[in-house]
Parts: sequence; C-alpha cells; structure tokens
Amino acid sequence: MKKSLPIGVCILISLALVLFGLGFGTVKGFNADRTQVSELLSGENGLMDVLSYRGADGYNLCVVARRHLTDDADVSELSRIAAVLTDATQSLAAKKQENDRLDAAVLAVKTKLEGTATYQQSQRDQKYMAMLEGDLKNLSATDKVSLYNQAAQDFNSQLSAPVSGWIASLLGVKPCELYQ
Amino acid sequence: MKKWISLFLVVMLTACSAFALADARMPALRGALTDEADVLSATVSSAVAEYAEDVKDETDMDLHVVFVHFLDGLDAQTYANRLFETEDLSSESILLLCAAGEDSFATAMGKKAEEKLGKQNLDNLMYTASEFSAHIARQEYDAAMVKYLTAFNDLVNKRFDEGVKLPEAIAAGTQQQEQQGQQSGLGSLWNQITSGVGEESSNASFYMPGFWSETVQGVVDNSEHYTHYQMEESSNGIGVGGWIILIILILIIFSQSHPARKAKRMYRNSGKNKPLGWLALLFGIPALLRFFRKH
Repeated sequence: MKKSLPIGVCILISLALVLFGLGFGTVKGFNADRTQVSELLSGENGLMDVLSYRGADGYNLCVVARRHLTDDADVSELSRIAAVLTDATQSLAAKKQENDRLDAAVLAVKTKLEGTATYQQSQRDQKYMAMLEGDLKNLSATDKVSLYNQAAQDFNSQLSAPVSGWIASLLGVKPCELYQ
Repeated sequence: MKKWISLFLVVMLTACSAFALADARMPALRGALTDEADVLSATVSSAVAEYAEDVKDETDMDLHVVFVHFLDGLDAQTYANRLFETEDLSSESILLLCAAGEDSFATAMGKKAEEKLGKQNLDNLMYTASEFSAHIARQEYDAAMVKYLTAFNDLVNKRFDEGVKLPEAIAAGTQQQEQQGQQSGLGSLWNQITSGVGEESSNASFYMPGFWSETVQGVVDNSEHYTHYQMEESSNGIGVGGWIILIILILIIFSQSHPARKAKRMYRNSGKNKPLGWLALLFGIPALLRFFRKH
C-alpha cells in the first residue's frame, strides 16, 4: 500500500515550489541584466577602459610636454590625474572626479607648451598633441558615460519596482553604482 | 628577520602596483614587422620582413619588430614584456619594441632565444653594439633599423655558426653609412627616408595608430552589445518554460494526495482506460477539481 499525502501538505509543497520558481527566475533574470550593465562598466572596452585610455592619453601627453617643460606644476597635475584614471584599484567616483578635470589639465599643459619656443619649432610634438587631443575627443564621443548611467538607472529602478524587484533585492541582487 | 619581512613587503607592493595598473593599448602583431607608428620606409619595412624570414629558416629564431608612438604610461621594458605575453610569442622569439613618440625602446625574448643569443648580448644590440639608440634619439628610424639588423646578424652568425645574409637594402645602407664615416647624414637613400612624423604629414589623423582607432571601435561595439541585449530581453522573472515545468511539478505532487489516489482508484475501476484519462489520473486533476468543488 503506497503512502499518500494529505492535500494540505501538497498545497504547502506546491506553494514552496511556486515561491522557489518565482525567486529563482527573478534572481536569474536580474543577475543577467546586472551582468550586462556591469559589462558596460568594467567589461572589455567598457566605461572603466575608456577612462583608463583617457588617462593613458594624459600620460602620453606628459611625455611630450616634458621635452619642453621641466618640473612644471601643470604637467605634474596632468600626470597625477592620469595615474588615478589608469589605476584599476581606484573607485568609480574617484575616477569621475579626475576625468572631469582631465580636459582642463590637458588645455593648461597645451597652453603652456604653446608658449615655449622649442615646442613651436617642433612639428613632431605639435602633431603628437593634435593626435592625442583627437583621441581624447574620439573617446569622449563614444558617449559611454550617458549610456552607462542610463542603463544603471534603468536597472536600479527595475530593482526598486514592486514584487519582482523586491524579491530580487531580498535575495541579494545589488543595485548598480552610478557614474556620478 | 625584519629584513626579510621588509623585502617581502616591498616585493608584494611592487607586484600589487604592477597588477593595479590597467592594461595599456597594444597592437596586434602582423608578422615580423608591426609599424603602428608608420615611421619606417617601404624599403626598410620589406627588408626587415625578408630578413626575419631568413633568420627563421636558418636558425628557428623568430624576430619581431614593433613600432608604436606611445606606451600609455608603461616603461618600454614592461610594455615589451606584456606584448610578448599577450601575443603568446614562442620561446624562440625576440621582440624589439620602439616607442617613436617617447624615444624609448626595449627587447623582450623567450627562454630559448635568451639561451642561444644571451640577454646581455641582445640588450647590447640596442646600445653599444650598434648605433640604434643614437639614431632613435634623432628620429632616424630607418637608419636605426639598418644598424640594429647589421649587429643582430653578426650576433646570430657568430652564435649559430651560420652565414645568414642581410637583405640588399640593409647591406647597401650599411655600406653607405660606412663610406660616409657614420655621419648623421646617411647618404642619398637614407636622407630621402622620412618618418611618420615628417614635415609632409600635417593631418593629425595620419598619426592616429590603427589599434587606437580599433579601441574606439571596440568601445562602440561594447555599447551596441548592450543595446541589442536590451532589445532582446525586455522582462525579468520566470519564463514560459519555467512556468510549464512548475505546473507539471505541482500537478504531480497533487496526484500523490489522498483524494487524488482515491479518485484514481475509482476512475480505474470504472474502466475508463483511455490515454487522456490516464494523463488526467496521473496529475490527479479529477481529485483537484473535486477538492475545489467541495470547498
């Protein structure tokens, strides 16, 4: 004789299964979305890489500038900004702060360079300056910042939306850090 | 003991700082010569490729020459080593890297190349054994390569006891230089050679290295990948397949309940053995219906 379950127990097991299915499906979906947003931030050629490439351009410009300016405060400042932008251990907030200063720092160094006779005579370095400025502009033109911020905001608002968002939050899905 | 602890800490800090630095942009190697800075003439470029092939045939050594403009904040040796690793070059490989915009250079090599030719000897090729460094400092890249390959060829022939010949363009360049007493004026051929940062190139985009443009394209591709994902996946939660499996599981559980078993028995005894009836019995649907009708 086979044992049979009381109907109440069956309902409880079914409820547990429904809850598990809901939780599992929700977390899986949210995690997949979060992975995509994270790819925009820290994936190959994501926002972090863009900031790093801009920092690298800053470093490259310092190399050019040091051929004409010695112990210059503006070049040191540009080098410091570049160091933060290329440092993988720096936070997103710290990188944003320095990225906002980068263009002004580049302009300050360029203005100083244009005031030196050796730079005015060096077609090579003037062209390098144009090349680096062009690359900085190209990297900014990719509009990575607004795309990432929009994606992160969309994800965060989904996460705070009723039921599925609450379930995902309860089950440990974290919101995305905004670039701000 | 304290000395050892401090030494350990210094090593760890150095290692950490090296890993903390983000990856620099690096070109993908295109055979023996990768001139991303566009500073070598066509004559010397083809001579380098031809010579590298001869060396490979005669000695199995794999010579790579790479020119870039900048090193993205790394020193030349670190950049060369990373490029060597990134490109997964063989143990017999020798990579000569030159950063035209930084007037710096370095050599990276595999273990077998180091054993055969000697690290010190290969490093010397850039300095004392040739005038490579002096020419690089004057942005005379073709002349620098002629000098380097001549010295490299001497070393290879000595170490391997071979008679690898230099390509004609390189040999002719060397002779001209010797005839002119190794002055900075390098003869008609070499004086005509212009670097990528020469007077005639006034357009900045002329300088933009290909792999930098590819990087920007990579950034755009990364964004497009997200946009496509967004269009494909619009909702979260359990999918249709998930719901179907869940419902089947629930029905199987209900089929094990007491009323369902009872209904199954009654159903079987009444002689309704058609396939759909069996399916309904399996899931205990009649019992469920009766349960909900009662309550």
